Amino acid sequence: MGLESVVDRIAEHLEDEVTLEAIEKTLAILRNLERSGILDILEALTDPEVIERLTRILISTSSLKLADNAPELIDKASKAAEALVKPVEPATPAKLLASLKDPRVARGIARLIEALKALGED
Amino acid sequence: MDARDDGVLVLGAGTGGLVAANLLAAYGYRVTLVERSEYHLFQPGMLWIAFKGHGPGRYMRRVEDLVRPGVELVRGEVRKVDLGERLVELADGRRLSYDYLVIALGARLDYDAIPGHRSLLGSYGDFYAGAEHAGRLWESFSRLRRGRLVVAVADPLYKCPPAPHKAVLLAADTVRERGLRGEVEVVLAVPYPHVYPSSVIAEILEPKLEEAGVEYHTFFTVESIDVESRRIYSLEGDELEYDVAAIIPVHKGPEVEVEPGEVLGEDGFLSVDKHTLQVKGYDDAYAIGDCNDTPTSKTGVTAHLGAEVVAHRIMGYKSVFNGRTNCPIVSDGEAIFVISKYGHPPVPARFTRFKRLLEDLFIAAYWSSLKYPERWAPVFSAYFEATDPEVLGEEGW
Repeated sequence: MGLESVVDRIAEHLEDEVTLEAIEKTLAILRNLERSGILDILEALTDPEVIERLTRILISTSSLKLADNAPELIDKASKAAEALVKPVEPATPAKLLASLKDPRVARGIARLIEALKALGED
Repeated sequence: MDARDDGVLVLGAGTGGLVAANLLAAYGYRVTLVERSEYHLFQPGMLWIAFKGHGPGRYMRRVEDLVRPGVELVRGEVRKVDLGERLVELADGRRLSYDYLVIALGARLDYDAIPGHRSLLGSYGDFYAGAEHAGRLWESFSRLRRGRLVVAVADPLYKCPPAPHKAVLLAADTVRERGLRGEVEVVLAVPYPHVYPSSVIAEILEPKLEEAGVEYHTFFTVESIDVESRRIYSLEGDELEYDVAAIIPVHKGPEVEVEPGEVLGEDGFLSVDKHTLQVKGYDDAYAIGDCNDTPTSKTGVTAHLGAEVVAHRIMGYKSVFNGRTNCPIVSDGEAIFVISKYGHPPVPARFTRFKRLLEDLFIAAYWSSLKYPERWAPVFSAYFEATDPEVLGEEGW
């Protein structure tokens, strides 16, 4: 593509008001990023050696599995949070024993035990 | 005649050829790349053209735009490879010599192996023969208001083992979106005892197919097609009626003459050492991707990883190919990866939204990973190590 046709194509874009406004905003963002030093950090992040070190931290078997389970974990955390803020009667020893018969409580305890085992691993 | 001396000669600008050529050029090697087509196709995109109606533009790039400086692109068709003389002859008579040869010519699709197949391709198109045929299949499929779309497999050896499964899941999704479930039936027929070659993956896929309303048939190896009565017959003695059908063709080795002929194995695939990818008996010639006879799946990932191994070996490293696969199967906003390697069958997998997102990111990174493979190597290496079948174990991912 010749230089003239490149210039023509850019000029065509600049006739559009939305594009002009977007460019002005982008330039303002770039100025702020430059003043705050964020552009310097971004520039460093594109260095192949930094990318390699970063990917070794971010991409691991554990992180991939965690991301895979994230929707279910968020769902469980949200339900647990709702339960925590719900007004409840204090549990008596009798109620405590009775609640162990509730399969949801039994499953919850089983999951906590599994989580404790995992936390206790060396 | 124009003969060149020394350097690396790469035949074919598919995934493997481009990665090998660009990677070697990045490290200062003089590389010549021979390709007959003007465009490189992102082959999994053909499914999206055929069953979702995507335009072909996003899945095609000009080969010359994917080649970095340092790679000399030669447009031409390879006619003969003479390994003893270290010479490659093109159809127009040009001859190219080499110090190292990388054969990445892909597989040949044989539409004449099954009676009626070429005529079927002419009637409806398919999702293997290129973007134009994929577009024609979309026209045929999208016109179907009532009847049966059949996707079948002619031979168990083909590129991208989950392609027929992705095809029917995408087609079923389109049928559901159009409110035609019950009117348009989506049918899958495979030659294996289960719906997928690996029973572990079949167990995961079967409920997904049932949920999507896909009718599936196992032990169905296509033997012939009667386009008049619109029936497909199997070697096992069954038959399927269709209104629109696409059959994955028989795959064979590349359509080139190779000297000596002994390096060609069954169906014309190049016999290579499965770890070094060297053509058997030649330490200066390699074959990567779909054209070799390695006992692993024929996929873009294996071609990419094989190209990295070969480039590193040419550079003097003792790099070894482990047959790793990472085939995505996409369904309703979720995906799984079929992860295996030599000596390790696919590990169990779970459909998740995160894996679908990863697949979208892989696709977005595709063009850049072809042109600048050294930039992506650390990212891919971290991913493949983290998801090594031995690391994932029985729990899978």
